[in-house]
Amino acid sequence: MLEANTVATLAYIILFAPFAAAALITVATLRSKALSAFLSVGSVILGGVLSIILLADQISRGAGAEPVVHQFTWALSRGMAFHIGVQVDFISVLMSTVVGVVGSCIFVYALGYMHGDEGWSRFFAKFAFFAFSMLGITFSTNFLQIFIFWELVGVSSYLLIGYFYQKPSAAEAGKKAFMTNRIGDFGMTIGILLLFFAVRDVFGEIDSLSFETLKGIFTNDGAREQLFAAMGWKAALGAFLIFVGAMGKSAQFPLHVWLPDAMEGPTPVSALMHAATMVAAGVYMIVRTYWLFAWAHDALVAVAYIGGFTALLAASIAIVQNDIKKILAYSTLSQLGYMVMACGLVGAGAGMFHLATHAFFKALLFLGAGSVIHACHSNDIWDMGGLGKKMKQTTWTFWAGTLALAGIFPLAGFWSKDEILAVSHHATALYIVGVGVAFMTAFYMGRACFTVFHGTYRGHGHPHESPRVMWIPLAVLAVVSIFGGFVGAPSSLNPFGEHGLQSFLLVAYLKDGVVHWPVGHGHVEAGLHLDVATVGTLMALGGLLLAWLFYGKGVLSAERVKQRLKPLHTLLVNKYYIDDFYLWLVRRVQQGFAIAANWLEQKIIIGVLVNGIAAGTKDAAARLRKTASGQIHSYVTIVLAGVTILVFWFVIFMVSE
Amino acid sequence: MEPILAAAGAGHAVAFYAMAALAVASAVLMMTQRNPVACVLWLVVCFVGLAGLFVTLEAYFLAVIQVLVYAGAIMVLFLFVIMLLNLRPEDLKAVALPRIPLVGVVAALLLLAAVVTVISASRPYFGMSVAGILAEVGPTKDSVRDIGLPLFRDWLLPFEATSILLLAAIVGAVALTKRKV
Amino acid sequence: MEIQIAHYLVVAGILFAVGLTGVVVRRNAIVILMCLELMLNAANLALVAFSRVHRDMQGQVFVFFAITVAAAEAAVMLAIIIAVYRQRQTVNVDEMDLMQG
Repeated sequence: MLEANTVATLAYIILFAPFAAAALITVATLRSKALSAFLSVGSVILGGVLSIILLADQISRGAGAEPVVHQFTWALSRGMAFHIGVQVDFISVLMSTVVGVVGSCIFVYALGYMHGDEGWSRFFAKFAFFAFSMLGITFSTNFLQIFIFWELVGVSSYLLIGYFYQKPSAAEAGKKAFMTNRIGDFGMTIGILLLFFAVRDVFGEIDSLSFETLKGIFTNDGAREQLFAAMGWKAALGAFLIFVGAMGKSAQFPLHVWLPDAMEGPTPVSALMHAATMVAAGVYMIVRTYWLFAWAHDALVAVAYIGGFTALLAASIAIVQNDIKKILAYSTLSQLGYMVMACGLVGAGAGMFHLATHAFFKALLFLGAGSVIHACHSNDIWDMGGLGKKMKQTTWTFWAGTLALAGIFPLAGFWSKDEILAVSHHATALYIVGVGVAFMTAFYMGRACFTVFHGTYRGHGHPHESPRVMWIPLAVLAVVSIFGGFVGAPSSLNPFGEHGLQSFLLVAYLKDGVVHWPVGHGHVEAGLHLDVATVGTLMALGGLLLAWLFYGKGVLSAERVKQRLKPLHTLLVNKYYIDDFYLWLVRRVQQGFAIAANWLEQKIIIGVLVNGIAAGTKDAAARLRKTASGQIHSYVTIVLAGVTILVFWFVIFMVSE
Repeated sequence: MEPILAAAGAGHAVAFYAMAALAVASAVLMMTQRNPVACVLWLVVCFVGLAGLFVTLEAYFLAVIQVLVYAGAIMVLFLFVIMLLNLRPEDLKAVALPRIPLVGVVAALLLLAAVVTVISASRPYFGMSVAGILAEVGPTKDSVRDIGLPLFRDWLLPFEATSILLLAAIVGAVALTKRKV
Repeated sequence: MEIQIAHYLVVAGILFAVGLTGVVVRRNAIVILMCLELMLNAANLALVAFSRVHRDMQGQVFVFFAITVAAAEAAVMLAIIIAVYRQRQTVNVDEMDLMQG
C-alpha cells in the first residue's frame, strides 16, 4: 500500500504528463516529428504504467477503501471556496487505467496510421491534450473541476474531429459535436447550480461542490431527507439536468447525433473517443456521482429508459450502415445506451464494468477498421471482402473484438454484458430491450465481419497487412479483450478477489452496496448469472448465425428482405429522420428565430441603441465643440453665466431662509 | 494718532461718497479707454480712490500699501510692459463689440444679484453704521502694529510662504521672458 | 445719513462688476489683466469692511496677502503676455485660439 502523498503525486503525474507533452509540442517541438511523437506517446504510456501501479495499490487497499483526496484552493469568493485537485479511488483509478492502457495502444497505432501526415506534430499535441482532458475528468474532486475538464474534452474533441479541417464535412462534424455537447453542458451547468445552491441553503457554507462532501450528505439518511424536503421536485430535475450533460458526452438520445458524424476525424481519434475518452465521460460521471442519482429516483428511471431506448435505436440503425466506421459508431451508441441503462437500473457497477471492457474491444475494433481502411482506401464494407487471407493479424484481432462485443463466452464483453442483463432482469421491458440489442449487436457485427473478411475482394488495388506498429497494438488489445473479462469472474485466481471487480465497484459508489429503489433492489451478486448468461449467449450466437446465413453462406438474401421491409429499411437508412428533424428545426424554427433576433439586433439594438447613442454623441460633440472656440472670451462668458446662476441660487435659496 | 477724518457725522459720509465716486468713475473710464496707457493711469486713480475708502475705514496701513505697492509698483510694471511691446494701432481696438449685448446683460444680472444679496440679507451687520463701529473701537493708535501683530504671530508661516511665492514669480517671469533658455 | 457697511459692499460690488465686464469685453490682454486687478481690489475692499464689522484685524491681514499674491500674479501674467507677443506679434486675445476644439 502506497502512502497517500505518493498516490496523489502519481495521480498528478498521470494527469499532467499528457498536458506537459501537449504544451511542449505546441511551444517547442512542432518542427521535429520524432520528438513530438515521442513526447505524446511517452506521456500516455507513462500514464498507463502509473495507472496500473495505482490500480494494484487500490486492490491492496481492498474494497471500500477511503479515497485519497488532494486538492488546492483555486478561488475564494464570499464564503465559497473552489478547489482543484485529484481524487484517487477505485473508480477513478480504473478509469485512468482504461484511458492509459487503451490510450497507449491507440497512440502507438497512430504512429503508423498518421504516417506522412502534414500535421503530425499538431495531431499528437491535440491527441495528448485530449487524453489530459479525459484524465482531468477522471481525477476530478468536485463538480466545478469536472465541468472544466468536461468542456476541455469538448474542445479537444472539436479540434480532433475537425482535424482534416480542409474537408468541409470534417469541419461541420467538429462543429456539430461541439454544439450538441453544448446543449448537454448547458443542462449540466444548471443542474450543478441547482444542486450547489440547494445544498448551501440547507447545510450552510460547506464545500457543496465536492464529491466527497456531497457523498457524505447523500449517504446519510437524515441529511438526504432534509435536502430532499428542501428541494422538492427540483431534486429530480437537478439530477436529471446533470444527467443531460452525460447525455451529451455519452451521446444518448436525443443528443446522439454528433457521434456518427464524429467519424470524420482520423480513425485513431474515433477509437480514442469511442473507447476511452469523451463518450466514456458521461457514464463515468454518472458512476462518480451515483449517490446523487440513487437519491433522486425519478431521475434514475428516466436515465434507465433513455439508455435502453438509445441502445435499441442505435443498434437498429447500425444494421443498415455500409460505412465500417459508422457501423462501429452506432455500435458504440448502442453500447453506451447499455451502460446508461445499467446505471439507471441501479447497476452503476455493471455500467462501469462494461465501460471498461467495452473500451478495450471497441478501441480494438476501431483500430482494426482503421487498418482495413488503410489497406483498401475506402470506408464502404462493400468495397472490401476476402481480406481474411491478406490481412491475417487484422482479421483475427477484429474477430476477437467482434466476439467480445457480441458477448460470447468467455470474452470480455460476455462478463460485463452479463452483469448488465442481470441488473435489468427485474425490469422486464428493459430486459427485453437488452436481450434484443444483444441479438442485433451480434448480427450487425457478424454482417460487418463476414462482408469484410470473407468472400471475395470487391474493391480495387491490392490490400496488404498494415505495418507492425499498427497491428501490435491490435494484438495487445485483442488479448485484453479476450481475457480481460475474467476480472469479473468469481474465482480465487481473480486479482480483484473472489467476488471480482464488482465487489470493488459496488462499495465504491454506494456506501453499503444496497440502494432501495421503487422498481426493485440494486444489489446484484457478482459473478455468473446462469439464466441471464444463457439467454444472452444464445442471442449472440443467434445473431452471428443469422449474419452468417445472410452474408457468409449466402443462403438468405439481404436484398429480398430489404424489398419486403422497404419502409423500415428507408427509416433505418435515414436514421429515423432524427438528423433531418434537427435540420428542419434549425432551418425553420431556429432560423426564423434567428431572423427575428437579427432584425431586433440590426434595427433596435444596433440601429437605435448602439448607432443611435453613437450618432447622438457625435452630433452633440459637433455642437459642443463649437463652444470650445479657444477664445478666452467665450470661456469667461460661460464661467460668468455659471457664477450668475450660482449667485442667484444663493440669493433665492440660502439668504432668504 | 488722531483720525484724519472725523469718525462721525457728515464728514465721514462726504469722504465716503467722494472716494467711492472717484473709484467707480475711474474704474469705468479704465474699462472703456482705448489706449492701454490711459487705462493704466485711470486704474491708478481708481486705486487711489480705493485707498481713500480704506482710510475711511481707518485701515491706514493698507491704504499706504495700496498706493505704494499697487499704484506705485505693479502699475508701473504694467506701463513698462505696454511700452516694451510697442503696440501697433490696430491692436488698440478697445471693446469687442459683438459680445457687448450678451455680456452686458450677464454682468448687469450679476451686479443686480450682488446688490439684491446685500439688500435682501437679513444679517444685522449690513445695516451697521461704520462710524458707530469706529467710535466703539476707539481711535486707531498704531495701524502698523495692529496688522503686524496678527501677521507675524498667527500668520507667520503663510507670510513666509508668500515670500517663496514671490520668489517663484520672479524666477518664473524671468524664465518666461528670457529669449534663449 | 449714516454710512453703513452695506454702502461699502455696494461699492465693492460695482467695482467687481466693472472689472468683470472689462474682462469679458476687452480684447487687449494687458487691459484684461488690469481689470482682473480691479476685481481683486473690489474683493479687498469688501474684506476690509468685514474686518471692521467683526472687529478683527485678520481680514486686513488677508488683504495684505491678497496684494502680495496679486503682485506675483501680475508679474507672471505680464511675462506670459510678453512671451506670447514675441511668438504671435499680438496681445489680442481673439487671435489666441490655439485651444480651439
